[in-house]
Amino acid sequence: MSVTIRVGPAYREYSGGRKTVSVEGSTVRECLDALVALFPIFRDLLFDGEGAQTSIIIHKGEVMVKSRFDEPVEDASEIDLLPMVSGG
Amino acid sequence: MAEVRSGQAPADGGAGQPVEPQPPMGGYNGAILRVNLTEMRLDEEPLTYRVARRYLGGAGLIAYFLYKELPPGIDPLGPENKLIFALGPVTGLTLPGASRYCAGAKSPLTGGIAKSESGGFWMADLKRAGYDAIIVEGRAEAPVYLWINDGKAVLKDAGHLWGKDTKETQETLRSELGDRRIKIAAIGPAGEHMVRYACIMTGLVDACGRGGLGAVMGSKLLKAIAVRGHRLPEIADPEKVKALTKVFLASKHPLSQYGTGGPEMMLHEQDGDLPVRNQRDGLFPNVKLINGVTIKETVRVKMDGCFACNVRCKKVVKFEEPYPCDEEYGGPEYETLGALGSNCAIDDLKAICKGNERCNALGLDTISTGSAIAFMMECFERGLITKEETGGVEFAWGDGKLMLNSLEWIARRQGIGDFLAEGAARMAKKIGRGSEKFAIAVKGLDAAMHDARAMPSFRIGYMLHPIGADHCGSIGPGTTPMGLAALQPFGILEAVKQDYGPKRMSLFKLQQCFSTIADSMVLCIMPMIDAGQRAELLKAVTGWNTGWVEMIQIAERIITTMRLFNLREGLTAADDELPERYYERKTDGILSTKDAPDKASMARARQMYYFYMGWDSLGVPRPEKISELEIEVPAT
Repeated sequence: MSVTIRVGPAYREYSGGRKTVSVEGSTVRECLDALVALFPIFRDLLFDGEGAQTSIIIHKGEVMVKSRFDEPVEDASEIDLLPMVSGG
Repeated sequence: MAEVRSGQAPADGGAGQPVEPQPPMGGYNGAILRVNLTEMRLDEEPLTYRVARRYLGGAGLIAYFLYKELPPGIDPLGPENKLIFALGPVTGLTLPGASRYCAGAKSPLTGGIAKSESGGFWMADLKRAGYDAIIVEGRAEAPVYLWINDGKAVLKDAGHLWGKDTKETQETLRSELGDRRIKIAAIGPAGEHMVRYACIMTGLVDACGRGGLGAVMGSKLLKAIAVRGHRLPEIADPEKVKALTKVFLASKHPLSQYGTGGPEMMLHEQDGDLPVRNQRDGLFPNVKLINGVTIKETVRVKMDGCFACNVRCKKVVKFEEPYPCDEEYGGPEYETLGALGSNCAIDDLKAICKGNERCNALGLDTISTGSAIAFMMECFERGLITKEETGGVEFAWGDGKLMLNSLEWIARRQGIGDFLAEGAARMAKKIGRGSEKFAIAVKGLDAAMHDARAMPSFRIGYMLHPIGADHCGSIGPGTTPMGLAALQPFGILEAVKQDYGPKRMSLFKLQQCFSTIADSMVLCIMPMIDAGQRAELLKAVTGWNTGWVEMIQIAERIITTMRLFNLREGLTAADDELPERYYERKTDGILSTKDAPDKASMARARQMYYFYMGWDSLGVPRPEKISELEIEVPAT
């Protein structure tokens, strides 16, 4: 499936300035792996050293947590990627 | 009531002596207003370059003056306490995040130092009115308010305001002073009744929330400080500040969409960070019902922001049924969604929004208020307190109506509210029978709505911050690649693992310094302004040849001064400890499957921190460190 990852403004310096990155994958996990293959630094942005998620990943309006990463994605769908900004 | 005004010291060296050229102090008025309520006297004194350069402003000035002037062992609710409102050199500039100030005093909740920052608009007018800080001393004989109008300060009768909530107070003052644009910081009934965690409201939406500063203000019979000002002090390099501002305004901030407590709340529930049932449980499936996404879809009317800030992270909510919720009080931040929501097992969004409104009207810190109610709910569940003892009130988990009623009882210390008003730590001491283990506080300050078992930065920060379990005191870059560039001068070249080893504790010390500088400049941590840009901004505003090497030293000085204050008040290394619950597993969710770090590893972490701060193994600053930091130790 062709999926567009929309990169939040704070992350664009790590995607070469790109607002969107096109990837191929059939699940959320595969899409994120494809992003990391293109820009390895995203491995350290998505998860910290303990494997805890440090970014917000939104697919079809739902917040994706690790337990949902194997959910399928549709062709021409989008995944939003934002840094975790905790409140406050 | 008589208006009082005192003059100021001569501007020259006295007796016609020539004035020596002063170092630059861009961004400062160079003036402190000292308010003695016992003598009903106002005095203006200089903020010197020496103090400004060494302590900056905000939290720094609070640490400096409290340590210098407060006799040890005084009653925080007595006339000897001092309540300080302090701005920083960037306060009031027209750029994102410069809309903050810091208030502080000896805390009626912890007995140590309290300081708390607030956003809003009031501080911009105070800077324009001609002052860098206000120091309030003594106690009035009858309620008063302070009115500062472009450099002219007077004390006026506030008998007609006493008992009013914050909105009524503001509306009355604006009407009688004849200017709708006057900005007001005030206490509500909670401060008047000296609830130990009463806050000072800045406007109707922002608060100096933590540590009971509202109770201190109420103990002095000071109801409000109204300000109006029109002239900013000069800054050193306006063109550079303008260029930096353009950069800060360039990107849309992620918080603009949902505010705090947005989609990340679902992540927090999954990773165990979200407090549930007095931070005992892990899972709260209905977190979807109370987060910022649902707020946007149901009750939100707009997003709003502080003075000159483009982040606009503040939700504004409004509804009429089942009860009216006034949009002028804004909407719940993440901490409130947790404290009045999941931590009390309440999934009724409208009850939480109404609770936020009432806390802002009554002048209550939502974090400590929610923690007190959650603690009571757990005691009730365990049979440690009965209906007979609560006056017939059943403190059941998930009861939104009970939560709302409790706010009114607490604010006026009515019935069981009088007990709740003491805070969870004091309630636990009274109840005993093991309840101390689940009063989730450090040094008596209730932990924020981030579980210390989920996030190492909060675990360390809660344990080691001078004011107690503060969630803002140790935020900074370093555990992900974002922002690492600012840390490279300090030898941190790659992201640091989230453990409690030497690298992490060394990073924590830096993060605590970064937060302390933010609280002293005073510049909000929400805008996307990195550490390098903060240093550039400070340099451009003040005209000082400064940078992070000096700024880290300033932060060390401020933190060490706070430490000395606390030691003098009898707090020791034993108080740098987490509540027992944070050493246990949660009852469900991911944090029920793994052990929390044990006491031995936290003790090692604590020792490393002390070492990196230049303190001995008991957390006492070494004489050579005090000397290096040029901290003036008072004679008493």
